[in-house]
Amino acid sequence: MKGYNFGFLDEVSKREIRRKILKAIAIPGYQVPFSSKELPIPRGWGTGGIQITLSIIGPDDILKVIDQGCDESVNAVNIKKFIKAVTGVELTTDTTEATIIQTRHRIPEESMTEKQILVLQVPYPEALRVFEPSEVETRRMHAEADYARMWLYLYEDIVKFQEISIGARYPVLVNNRYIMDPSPIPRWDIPKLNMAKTLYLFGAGREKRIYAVPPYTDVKPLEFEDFKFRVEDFRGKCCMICGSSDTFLDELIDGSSGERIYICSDTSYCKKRRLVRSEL
Amino acid sequence: MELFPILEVRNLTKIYGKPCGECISHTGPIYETNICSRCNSLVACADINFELYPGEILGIVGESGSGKSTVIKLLAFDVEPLQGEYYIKHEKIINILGNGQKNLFNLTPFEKRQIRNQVIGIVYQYPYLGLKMNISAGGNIAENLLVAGLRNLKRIREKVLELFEKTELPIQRIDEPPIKFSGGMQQRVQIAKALSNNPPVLFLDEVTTGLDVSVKARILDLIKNLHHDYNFSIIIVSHDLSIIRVLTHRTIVMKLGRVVEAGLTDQILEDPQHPYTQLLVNSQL
Ligand SMILES: Nc1ncnc2c1ncn2[C@@H]1O[C@H](COP(=O)(O)OP(=O)(O)OP(=O)(O)O)[C@@H](O)[C@H]1O
Ligand SMILES: [Mg+2]
Ligand SMILES: [Zn+2]
Repeated sequence: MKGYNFGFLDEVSKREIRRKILKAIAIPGYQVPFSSKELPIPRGWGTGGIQITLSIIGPDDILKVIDQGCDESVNAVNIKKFIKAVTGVELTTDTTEATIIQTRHRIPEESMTEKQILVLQVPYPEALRVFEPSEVETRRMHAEADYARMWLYLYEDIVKFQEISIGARYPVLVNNRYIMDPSPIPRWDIPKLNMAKTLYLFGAGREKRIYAVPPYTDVKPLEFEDFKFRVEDFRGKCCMICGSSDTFLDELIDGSSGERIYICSDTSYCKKRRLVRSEL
Repeated sequence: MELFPILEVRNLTKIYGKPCGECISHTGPIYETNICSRCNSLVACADINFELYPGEILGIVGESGSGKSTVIKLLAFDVEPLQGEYYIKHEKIINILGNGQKNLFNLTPFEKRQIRNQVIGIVYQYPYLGLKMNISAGGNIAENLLVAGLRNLKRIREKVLELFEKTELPIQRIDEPPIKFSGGMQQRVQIAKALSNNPPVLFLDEVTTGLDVSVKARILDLIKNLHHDYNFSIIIVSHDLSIIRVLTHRTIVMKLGRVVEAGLTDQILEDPQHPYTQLLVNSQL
């Protein structure tokens, strides 16, 4: 794209965002306010994640963009096109090849390395918002690590529903200090945050917040001693395309037969496994 | 009675508004107002001194607006004083703060929260101040256990049930929100919550106001029995002298933010010295 700086944002803006990212890394799980820039994409479409990606990307980076695990969804394709246009970087769908992965609602199945960065798009950065509408009050709670009300919320949930009804956005405690919203990833992905080799960066464009889980950070889902956190249960189910039974599966209803079918939510990994299988 | 107080308050002052520096010397019973004529600030309480002894029940009486609830809110760290010193002597304080006397008003928010949770139980004048009306009664009580760091659901439930029984609440209603409860039951939930971490000190602010006579009598019985069983030290605020007479050992009388008289309850009720106390006692006989 002509007439634009590399990465669309001007260098001053990028530097500001990078400073905020460094602060976020220094205080794992803490939400750092930043001045969200205007992009030719409406807020709420991943602008927080895009701004992070544009601020850290260099010409030699290889980018993968997924939306709910899928490389080809309209949203992912649009973001990819935009970033490609303003940076010219190489694109990939292979998790292991990418240096930066921008994602919404999923963490890839394949394990990642220290050399990679995962950028998550966040719609609602405040985990405590479910019970506390006041921003002043949630900030105070974070500052004082006053989290009893979050626990009370979980207690009430269990009393009412005999389970913790939170599916996506399951609250986690980062580095034994801050409660953090991991963005709407399924519970399945939560354990991947713990002691991960990869840097995770979270960007909320509309709410103007950046936060981070640096590599090798302790990340625990909130749970009671006698009421443990559990991931989604896919026992007895497998992907009808690749046959996988150890990946996060999307449930679909087969149009013709009306039966429930399951396919991998991580489409590029599914494809890879299918290739491996067909070569056998 | 023991020699050393468990709780001591020195020179406690709370002013609403921006004080001018001379508010205290321009207000009080002598001036018949708690509003400073120079700066319009409201002196909710000033120069309050008292101590509470282990096992003692201390009463605070006074007309509406005299500053009774303000004193309780200050001691519960709900509002910050303009000045004052506040000490509690108890092994639980040593567990939280270590040895040595510290003015509790100078602690960090974290330390205050621990003391509030472990050392102080409070029942507010209005149930909505002490309870989350839309969260289950059990949850309201559990909150104090969660603050204390308990993370075992079974033990939390057991403890909440025990507190329900102790305060004579119907256990089948444990998961209902207090908004559905009668006024007397709401006060019992507040009491159960106040007792949850076995605090050595209890603050009861008008626990029976607005309740009808028979409910009031049962709550008073409950407090008496709990005091007998646990022997905590209690500060009880009321403008109902019959409660003060039945429950308290000593009483302080407040007017327009000041203490005008203090002493043994029997003496104060039989032979009030201050004209204001005389008025109070006579009007209620
Ligand atoms: N948040 C506040 N802002 C301004 N003034 C206040 C505030 N809270 C209390 N006051 C004033 O402080 C004074 C003392 O109030 P407080 O509630 O302590 O009285 P009280 O003795 O408990 O009265 P009551 O018997 O009616 O409960 C009153 O004049 C009251 O109007
Ligand atoms: Mg009051
Ligand atoms: Zn003044």
